[in-house]
Amino acid sequence: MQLNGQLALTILMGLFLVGVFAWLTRVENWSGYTPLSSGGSAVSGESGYVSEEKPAGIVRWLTTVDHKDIGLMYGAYGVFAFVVGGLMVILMRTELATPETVLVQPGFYNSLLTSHGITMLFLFGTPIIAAFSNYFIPLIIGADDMAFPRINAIAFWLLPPAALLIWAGFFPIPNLIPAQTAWTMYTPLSAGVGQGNQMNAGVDLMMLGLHLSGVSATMGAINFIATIFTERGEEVTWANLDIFSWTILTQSGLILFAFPLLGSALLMLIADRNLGTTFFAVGEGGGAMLWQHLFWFFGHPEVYILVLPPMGLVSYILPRFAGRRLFGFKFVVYSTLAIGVLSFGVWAHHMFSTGMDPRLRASFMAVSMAIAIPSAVKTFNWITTMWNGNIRLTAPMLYCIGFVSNFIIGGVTGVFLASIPVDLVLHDTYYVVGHFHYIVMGAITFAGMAGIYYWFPLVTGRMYQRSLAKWHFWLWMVGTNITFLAMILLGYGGMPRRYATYLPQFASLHQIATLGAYMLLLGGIIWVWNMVQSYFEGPVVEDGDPWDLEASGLRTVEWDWFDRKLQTKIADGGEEEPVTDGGVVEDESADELDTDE
Amino acid sequence: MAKTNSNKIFDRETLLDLTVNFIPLFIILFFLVLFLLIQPWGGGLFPMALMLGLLVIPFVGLAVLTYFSGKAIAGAEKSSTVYYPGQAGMPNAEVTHGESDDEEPQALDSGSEHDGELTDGETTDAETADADAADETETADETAAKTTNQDES
Amino acid sequence: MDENPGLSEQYRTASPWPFFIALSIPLAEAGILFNLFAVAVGGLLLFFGCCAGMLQEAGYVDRPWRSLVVGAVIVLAFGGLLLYADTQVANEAVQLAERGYAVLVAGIILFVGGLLGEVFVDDGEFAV
Repeated sequence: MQLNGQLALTILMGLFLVGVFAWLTRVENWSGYTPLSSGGSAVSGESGYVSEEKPAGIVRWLTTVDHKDIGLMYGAYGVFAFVVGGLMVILMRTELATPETVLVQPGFYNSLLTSHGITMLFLFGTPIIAAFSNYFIPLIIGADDMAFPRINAIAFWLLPPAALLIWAGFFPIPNLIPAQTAWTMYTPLSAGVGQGNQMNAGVDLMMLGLHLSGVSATMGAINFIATIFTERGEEVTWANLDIFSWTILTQSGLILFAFPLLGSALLMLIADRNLGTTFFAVGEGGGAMLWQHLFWFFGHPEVYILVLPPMGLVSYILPRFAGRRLFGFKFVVYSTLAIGVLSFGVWAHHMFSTGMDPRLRASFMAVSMAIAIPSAVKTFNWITTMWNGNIRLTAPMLYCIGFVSNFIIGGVTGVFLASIPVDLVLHDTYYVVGHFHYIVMGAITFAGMAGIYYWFPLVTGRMYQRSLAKWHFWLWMVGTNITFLAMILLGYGGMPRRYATYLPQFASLHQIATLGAYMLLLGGIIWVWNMVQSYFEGPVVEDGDPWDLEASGLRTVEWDWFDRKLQTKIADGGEEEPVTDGGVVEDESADELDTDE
Repeated sequence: MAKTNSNKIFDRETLLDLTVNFIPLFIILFFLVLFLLIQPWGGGLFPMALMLGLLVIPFVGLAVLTYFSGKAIAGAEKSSTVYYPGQAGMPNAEVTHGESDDEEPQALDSGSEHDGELTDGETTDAETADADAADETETADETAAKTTNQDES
Repeated sequence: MDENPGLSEQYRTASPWPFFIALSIPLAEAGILFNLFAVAVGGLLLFFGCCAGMLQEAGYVDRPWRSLVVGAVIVLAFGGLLLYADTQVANEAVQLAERGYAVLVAGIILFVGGLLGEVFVDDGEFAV
């Protein structure tokens, strides 16, 4: 049995390698069989078929190293992961509609909880940001492509295997159960110690997947740092680098220092689980505290890794619909950099209740207070930008304003948690859950939506449906506040985190939160429908400036690129999709812009 | 950051931009002094070293990064043409040369400029006028540049 | 329609290697971690083979063979390390030696492949 398994595996692996080899030799002959009539290109590998046009069909997407294609793939991947993570939490919220277990068993609830967190943070959050940065940063800073296009492709393709490994426990594979460690993977539970079932290989697979996603993020970060430093166009100096590139640069710096640490800590934990090491063993090793220090030294910068680029998106998009330039541009830049540095000095504020030395706790509290300032500065900048502005309430603008609103609530609730005495009371309650969901859902996801709606015409060449976008926004704005405000109140009441059951006294607030979650689900369905239908059937954008930014002098270089793309399309005879509803199209897109008051 | 005062790049305007980072620096410094003066948990060399290190390292890190980023940004402002961010590659990009001739606090400036006129964006914002308008009057252009010096496009 | 208005015409927009490199890393990792001999060997071969191919494609090297040999040296060193570590570990449940042999086999195949390529493959094939 054992031998047969090995044999079968060897044969499979051999066949796979031979197949890959055969395919690669065929594909690489692209460069050999190309009509090199000119014969002028002696530079190895830089010429031939693939340098002139992309291969067709699925092969194009498997082999592309074009930053725009990779950005699109990141986007599609992020959206898919978002749907998966969202459905997981809908299941959880449904279970939480009643105090006792009805729908899912507590063990499975813990699995959903773990996977929801990891999916949303690592498989949705980071990739959706990478989607924007891959697509737009080379365009905005005037680079031909990323500095290392192939590494860019590797970074993306590491993510699908990462997702498969992280979700592996949910697949119907015998003897494999999903991890129930929560996304923080605290030892000794995650080291497989004790009577539980956390020694299962599903936990190892999840950690491997997480490790892969970390490798991917690190590769992307190196690429962005190199691109922004070395590939900028001549006119793009540090003085006029756009705010989104600044935030991505800072984020990449954070990734560069944070993710390798997570990777190392994960390998140590995997070694503890499988190879008999004792890094985190209680008594003989570093114990539970070592893991928490290592994890949060990564984990707190991770918060800013996720929130800085969305802040950049909002800083970039919000002024376009306020009719004014961003107020205090350099304040935003410097405060972004300040957040970048300070985020490495606050990690133990996640650990105030662990019984660590009070002197250290006090220091972490001080720096946590200090890091609130740069974020607050940005908030005031956004508000001042809108002040007396000529505001157009388009869908992207609504999402930007929603971002600011939710970010204020999420941020202020966070400042209280930075204070040790308050944290000791509220630690591990739903207050914390409400606080960070205001940030990750109310702020980060909202900014992502602002970006998606803002650049939808540029990427697809079509306009989305305005009324559906408004429905989406209001369902999400109201749903977010209902869900997470209820959680904050639950926390004040003392409801602890991570439980599948609860005391009947919490029932009504939990039911309100569930109601809000269903509003989010409905909004999400409308959004997906809008995106898909508009992609295929939306009114074609024929103007290179669909947001009418030229009039206020706020048009930026990526729209200029889009305009040139449209021009060449007309010059080529516009062989793309025949516009069947041409007349209506113009009316609708004009409507979209003018009546958005 | 007294050392930076002598540097030409760190003129009053740049320092004003950097105030945003002086505030967190000050907060850290405040707690540093506070914890040195009041020690409810007693001394001990190692815990004290850790405690102060946790404050000193972020302080130094932030000060150093602020210095270098300020130098890079203000230096680029003075040595090359400054466009509005995000518009540098465009063929008809507006130029906002970051001349540091005027050193008034910018917050006041743009605050007063936007009095009233909620509806009329064009007259409110001199800087939002087209390139044509900017060409017309040199003074208007300068005011615009001054107002939007810190502003993003 | 010009997909990339204003971009250099020489820009290469496709490469077959990154996909397989990304695939090889989880294969090698899982193979070594779960002590699956064939998967570990295959993953390592795929990784270093594709790296060599990509280096050649990107123009960093003229021919892939020596990069294969360099890869082989790294892999052999890692395999040796695993074998050495096995002698230091008292715990009977931890089988580092089997993993070490898998890594060594991958290293030997890479080394032989690189050597054969260097000696027997005509340079003309890469003079694209």
